[in-house]
Amino acid sequence: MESQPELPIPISYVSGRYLLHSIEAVTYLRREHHICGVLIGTLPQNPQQNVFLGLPLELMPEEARLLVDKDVACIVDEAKAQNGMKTLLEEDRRRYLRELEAEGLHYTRLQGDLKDSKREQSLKKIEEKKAKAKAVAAAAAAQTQAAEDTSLEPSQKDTAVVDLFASEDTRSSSPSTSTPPQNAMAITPATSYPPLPTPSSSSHLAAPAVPSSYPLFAHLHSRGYFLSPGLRFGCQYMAYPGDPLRFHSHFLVVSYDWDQNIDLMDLIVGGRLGTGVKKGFLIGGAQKTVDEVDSEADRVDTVRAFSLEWAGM
Amino acid sequence: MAQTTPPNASAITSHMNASNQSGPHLATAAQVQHNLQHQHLWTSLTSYTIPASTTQTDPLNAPKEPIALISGYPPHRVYTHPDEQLFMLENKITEDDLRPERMFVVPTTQGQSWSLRHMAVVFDRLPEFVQQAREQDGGSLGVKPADDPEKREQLARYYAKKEEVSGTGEWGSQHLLLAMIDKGMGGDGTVAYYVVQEGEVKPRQN
Repeated sequence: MESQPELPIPISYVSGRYLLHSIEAVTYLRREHHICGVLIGTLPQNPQQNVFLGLPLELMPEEARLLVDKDVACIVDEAKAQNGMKTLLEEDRRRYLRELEAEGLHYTRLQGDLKDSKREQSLKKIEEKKAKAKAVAAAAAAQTQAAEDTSLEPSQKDTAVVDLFASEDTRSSSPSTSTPPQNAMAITPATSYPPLPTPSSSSHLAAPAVPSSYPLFAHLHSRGYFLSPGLRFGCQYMAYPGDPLRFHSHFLVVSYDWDQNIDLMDLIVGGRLGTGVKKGFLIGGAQKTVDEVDSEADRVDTVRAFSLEWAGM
Repeated sequence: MAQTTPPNASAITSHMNASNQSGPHLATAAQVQHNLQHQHLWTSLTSYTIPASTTQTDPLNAPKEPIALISGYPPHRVYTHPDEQLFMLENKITEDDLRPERMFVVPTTQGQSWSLRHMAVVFDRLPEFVQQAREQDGGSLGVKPADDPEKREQLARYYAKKEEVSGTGEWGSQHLLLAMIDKGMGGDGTVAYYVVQEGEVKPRQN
């Protein structure tokens, strides 16, 4: 399924979090832009479990910022956007409901066709089996005929088989030609677009504020790394050389400002832990501070990074 | 009353006194050098200093304090990039077949100021020192002539490949060792060594 959602993808800003609710957008961003985010939706039946998480997808501010800077996404204030529900015209609402119903009918028809074809297949199988049995019976009959001339049983069987087929044939052909069922399947839409109009570009929020580690994040992302939050290893990000479903991560990433003092103990802690879990420890940062350049994008170009590994001596 | 005489200074202290360093940063270097020479059996140890800079307006200016550097020949290879190792395995080259490589070490101590600027300056100046060391060593540590013609061919292939990938980062970038010592309560003579490489270089055992 290689579908592309309409760009820019609206990212819902809800009480300080950046969320995506459309599975189409989530798969597209992961496939094309190496943005994974974190699934945070749980099951309504069992909200405490955290083994199977689904939509919505929460993005780090860095991820949201990166997408906005690339003009792939825009930030929408969800609370404001939901007000649009009231302005929805009655006519629009009815049209939307009709569309849903048409879609439901379409799926009902698809399911009906599938059922029919399945039934025809199984009938064909039965027919074949019966034909085989008939052949065997005929062979047996020929043998018995040679020994004993008077035997009506096989012919009786034959007629019985033919009768059965005839009746089944008529039965199977009748539903396929019948009119499609009237009751359409109920469709539960997973997204609110449409019916809600896509918010106009003037109502988009500004690009998200990002921590000072953003230049390193963007630098690594531009090198093709997939980045995820680094809580599990006590670092800022984990850098994967490809999709996290296929690869182990390569680096534990920590960002520093250019003249920020680095405690050498932190380098040992990160380097030793990283080596212990077969990863490298990567530190880095932009050479220039925010005041020295026009935009964050300029800082990304000046990032220097260094990887550390335990020397084993 | 018997006259008490202070005990003789330890080997490391007398070594540091003898090296007559001008500042604390460079005294750290003397201690690390001692460790490399006597514990890890490095040879041809040489020291360098990156002078301090008074201004730090440019991000590539040197920091306020001088940075010491040591280089030498380790008895065994300290770092081999995973792809290089694969190439060596495929061509049946062992570490012992290769000519030794000079390795650079940055001595540091816990509590000293250290930043990305320090790291970047060391890496920016490194090629200069490598060149300097190469001239100093001359051809004395050239290729060990292999007896076996097949081996000679394999080695030639290895060195050609090494030349080809230098600068591309395929077999890692320029690297050095960061040596860290603790002069405080834990100052038991332990030196922790970490391989630092410029840029994103994949880990050895992923």
